[in-house]
Amino acid sequence: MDFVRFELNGNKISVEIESGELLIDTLRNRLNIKSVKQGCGIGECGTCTVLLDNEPVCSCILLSKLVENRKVMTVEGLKHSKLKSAFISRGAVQCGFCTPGMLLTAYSIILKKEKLTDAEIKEKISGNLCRCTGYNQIIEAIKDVL
Amino acid sequence: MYSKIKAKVFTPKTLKEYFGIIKNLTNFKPVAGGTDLTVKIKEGELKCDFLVAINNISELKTIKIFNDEIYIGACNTFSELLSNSMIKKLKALHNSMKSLGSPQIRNIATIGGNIANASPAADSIPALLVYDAVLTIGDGIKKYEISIDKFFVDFYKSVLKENELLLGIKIYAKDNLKSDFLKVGHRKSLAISRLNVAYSHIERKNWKIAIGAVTPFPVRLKMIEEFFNTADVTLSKIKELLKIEISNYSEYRKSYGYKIPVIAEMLYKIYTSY
Repeated sequence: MDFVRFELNGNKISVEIESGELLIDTLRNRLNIKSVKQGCGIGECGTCTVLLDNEPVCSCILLSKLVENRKVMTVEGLKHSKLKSAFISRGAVQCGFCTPGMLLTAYSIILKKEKLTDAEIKEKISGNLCRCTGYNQIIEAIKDVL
Repeated sequence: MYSKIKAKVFTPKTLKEYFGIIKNLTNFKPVAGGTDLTVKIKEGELKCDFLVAINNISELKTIKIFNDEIYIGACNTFSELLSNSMIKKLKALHNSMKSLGSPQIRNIATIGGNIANASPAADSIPALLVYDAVLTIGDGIKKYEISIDKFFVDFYKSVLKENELLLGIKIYAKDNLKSDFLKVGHRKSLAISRLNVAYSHIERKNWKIAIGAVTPFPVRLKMIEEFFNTADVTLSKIKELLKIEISNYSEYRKSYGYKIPVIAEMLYKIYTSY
């Protein structure tokens, strides 16, 4: 067994892990963070997105050992009521499966406080697939907050 | 559904530490971001007992610019390189990284990993080919340099030995060098190249052209480069030369029925667009 120390949603923690464990498994199975969902499992859909030092990454292909001393955020640690209300009022959530990952990517965009065109927003969410909404509602929600 | 990663992970902080660790290991792999490697292990394509993470080694993250020479440490992520204002000027390299994977992948994947993984469809490689990139390789005792067009030998195979590490990439790019990278994929993002083309030239001379996702590894099209220096460039002649050049690296594949006409058109467009 091995262990990894990192900051999760603002709290410094140390978790015992299998050395080659992937972050999604550490979060879901050892830390009971069930918001992180597995989609494709190979980094091609963005469903499992978490923020690493405020930047979106796919937790399904990230070795937990690589987040040593870094900051990880899941939606449980996302405090931005305006973003969440915008998602709701714009209808940016249907089945909800892509939503945790999508919210975190959206939050990483908002943190940069840049004015973005629609094309730029699309490019920044291009790593998060959504099969339900057709993306327009998600883009509108992000624009509401930017 | 996926294999568990049963390897023990080491996290050295310096190159000295890395080479000290691997001296005593067999069946190991270095891992930078791991976006290719972890997928291979999960899908059962690769098994190893040890993974030695190099993403935290600061010696592998330097970027040095001196006149026309740019040195890029192997473990810079694509996101880091895309935000570098000097590297933005290298249009072929910049655009090859811009459409690679997705934002999530680019935040973790490294240029060194892209090269060392040696995928035939690796996006950064054709761009590096048209800048005459030189790779620095080390084994903890000595370093040597090798031109990138001599680095690859087959699908997913390079000359890199198990005890060696790709340390960095040197690019020479004069200010008046024009370059770009074009990619064809199933979609605009999260798509592996179906084919890609990189080119560079200096005032329409010294053309350098490379293609990826066609031959076992990305290659320069030396005959077409010479051809572009003549005045008689036609689409049909490009297509003819393309078939010959590709046949030097690979037997005919069914996909060539699609790829060869498309690349020929792209090359003709590149030539006539100036």
